[in-house]
Amino acid sequence: MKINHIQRFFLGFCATLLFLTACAKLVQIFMDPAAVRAPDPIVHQFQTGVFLLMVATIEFVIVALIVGNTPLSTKYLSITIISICFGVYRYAAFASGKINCSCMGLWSQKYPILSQLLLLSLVVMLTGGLAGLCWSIMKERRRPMNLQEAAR
Amino acid sequence: MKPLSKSFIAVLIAGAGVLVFLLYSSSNTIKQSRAVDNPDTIRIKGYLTNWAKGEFVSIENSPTFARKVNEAIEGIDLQTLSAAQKNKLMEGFYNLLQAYSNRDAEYFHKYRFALGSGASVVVNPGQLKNIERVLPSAKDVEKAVRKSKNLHDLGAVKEYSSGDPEFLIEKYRELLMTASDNPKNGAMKCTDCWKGVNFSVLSAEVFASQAEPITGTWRMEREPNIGVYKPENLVTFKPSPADLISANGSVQCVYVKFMVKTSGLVSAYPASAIWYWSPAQEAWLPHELLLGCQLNSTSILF
Repeated sequence: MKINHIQRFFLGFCATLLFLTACAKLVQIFMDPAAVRAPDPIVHQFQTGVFLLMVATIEFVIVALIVGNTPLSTKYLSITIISICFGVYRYAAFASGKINCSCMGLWSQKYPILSQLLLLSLVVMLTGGLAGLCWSIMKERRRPMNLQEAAR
Repeated sequence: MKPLSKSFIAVLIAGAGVLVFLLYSSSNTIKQSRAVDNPDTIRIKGYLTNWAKGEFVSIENSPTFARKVNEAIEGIDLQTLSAAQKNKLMEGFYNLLQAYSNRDAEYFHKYRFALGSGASVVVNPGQLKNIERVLPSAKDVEKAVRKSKNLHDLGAVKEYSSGDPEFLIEKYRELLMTASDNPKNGAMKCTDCWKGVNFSVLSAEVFASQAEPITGTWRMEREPNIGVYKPENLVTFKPSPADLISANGSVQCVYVKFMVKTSGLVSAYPASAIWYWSPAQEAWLPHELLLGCQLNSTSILF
């Protein structure tokens, strides 16, 4: 398998996953308006609904960055950063005794296996994102500038 | 060497900002959760200690327990109620305690569908859908419904017109069964079943309401609580309080407050229920259930 194929598969996987989790968050906001009025268990500054909406928006932006015409390093950087953010959120939830993650709305509470799969996907995203980031930065920075780029 | 792209720098700055904010919030949350002298922790611990004090009578499905419930209701000054209304209230309160203690669908029906003749039930399919989302899949429920040959004789309940009534009612019954702590339906454990009731703090207030909404939320909120929880109505009745207000000018209601001991992490908490009197059916119809404790919303169906 060529490196391009692996990259395309990984980026496609990340984009699909982020798109699905963003949609799940939006669905929860509209289907369970009572539950989303309470403050978020980790980020108390926001109501759960507002926080879910913000995270879903960020996820959509990252999906756009991944599928859009942006440099490879930007794609990997966005994946790495959001994976670190999700990791921090999950750690805070675990450390403060709140086991349930609202990453897939109520579905992750209904199907614990889904929550575990998402955790596994998070690890894959983080390691893949970091590896891809290092590789793409090295590759891009090693590439000599063309005349147009130099003129800018 | 090629410089980093603008989009890379923009994502880096925005991401760093988000990450810093998240780290700040998370560390605060972790600190708060671990702080022994956190004012919220102290307040909640105080409530929990006070609520667990006192003598709790074990909720049983027995004539002895029914007698204790009757004596407790008799002990309250309810002069405005007729003897028949008092008896119906005793029955309703007994069924309420049974419904949330063993989560037997039959008791739930007795409590939630406690109707005389001529009244009808309106199932709220939207709410049913909400509950379904957090319970085992609709497929499992449908399978159970198909297997079930024991359709309840619900009399007037069959009057409502949304879809196939028997199917919906059976579905509702199966949802309750699945949400119970019945080991056969182990998918959803009953984590906060009521195990006992403290009759010494039982109180009731009869009032006539001339307008809606009729709710005890404000009463519950001004008392010690750790997040008042009000489950949404899965079913409503015809006549509704609004029907009775427009027909008679007011509706007679009773607000009953009590303390329950549970099998969950919160060992005891206050709860209250409102019934309204339907003169034509000569029945107290359950209108609202309030818990002084924010529980997992899936475990309490109303």
